[in-house]
Amino acid sequence: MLSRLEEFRLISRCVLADDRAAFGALVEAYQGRMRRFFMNLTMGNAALSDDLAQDTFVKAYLNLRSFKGLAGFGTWLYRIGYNEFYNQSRRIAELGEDAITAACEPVTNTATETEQSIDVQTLMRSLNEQERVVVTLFYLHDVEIKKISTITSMPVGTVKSHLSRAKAKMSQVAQAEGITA
Amino acid sequence: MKRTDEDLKIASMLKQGQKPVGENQWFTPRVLNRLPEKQRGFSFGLTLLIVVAMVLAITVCSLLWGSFVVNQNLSVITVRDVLQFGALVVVTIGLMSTGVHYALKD
Repeated sequence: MLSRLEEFRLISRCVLADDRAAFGALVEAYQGRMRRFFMNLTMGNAALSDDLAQDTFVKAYLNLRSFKGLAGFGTWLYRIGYNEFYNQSRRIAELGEDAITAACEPVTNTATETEQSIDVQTLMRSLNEQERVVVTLFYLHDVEIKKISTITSMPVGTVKSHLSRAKAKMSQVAQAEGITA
Repeated sequence: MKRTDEDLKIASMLKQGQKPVGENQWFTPRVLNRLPEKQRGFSFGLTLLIVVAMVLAITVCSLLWGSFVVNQNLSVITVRDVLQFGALVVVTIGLMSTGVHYALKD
């Protein structure tokens, strides 16, 4: 994890001198978090997650000059990532129902997949896209509601209602499937 | 919104059950490969400016050392001589460290 100062130093080097090594260090520091973010949103599709994460970093690099530093680099990255995911979903939706199913089809490995991870995927599948984004950021990435509102451009109240709806849905599915915490 | 006990319980359950993200050592090189070609404009201009400034500074510094050595009267060392010598040493070390820093940077 980079300190705020180190992060600022690396960003300055990228902006002022087009320093690729500095950008590489930023990618190294944030790639795990971003790949995990997309893994949760695509429900375990590793290839699609990596593609989306790469697109996010390339977009971030191209727009680095517009980064004001008010919200923190991580929040800014999540915002770009969320837009990438949203655009990807829209593109897939235009292709039709089959494409959506194929894109979100997790690459399952029955030998290593634990029962618990299958349970979590079942719960995540019960949510719509917006709810999944909010749940992923709030529960899995420990992002505050206010920041989620910045990332998704949703009002705070909408984020809260997505969260409470998601909680209700997950509890319903958990009861129906006999999933226990 | 404060996180309730229920929130913490859900978070812990989801975190434990999320699919692990495997190590991908090629991720960063792939991202760097996808970046547009490096623009020479600003970076090249800056490097050129630094090189010209360094050459000028080294020339001036050498002339000052030459003048200091030629005008030096070894039988009498004044405070002015000591100050001049000290200033020259500081400037020379500064120049050398800057040069080494830029040479090793890339």
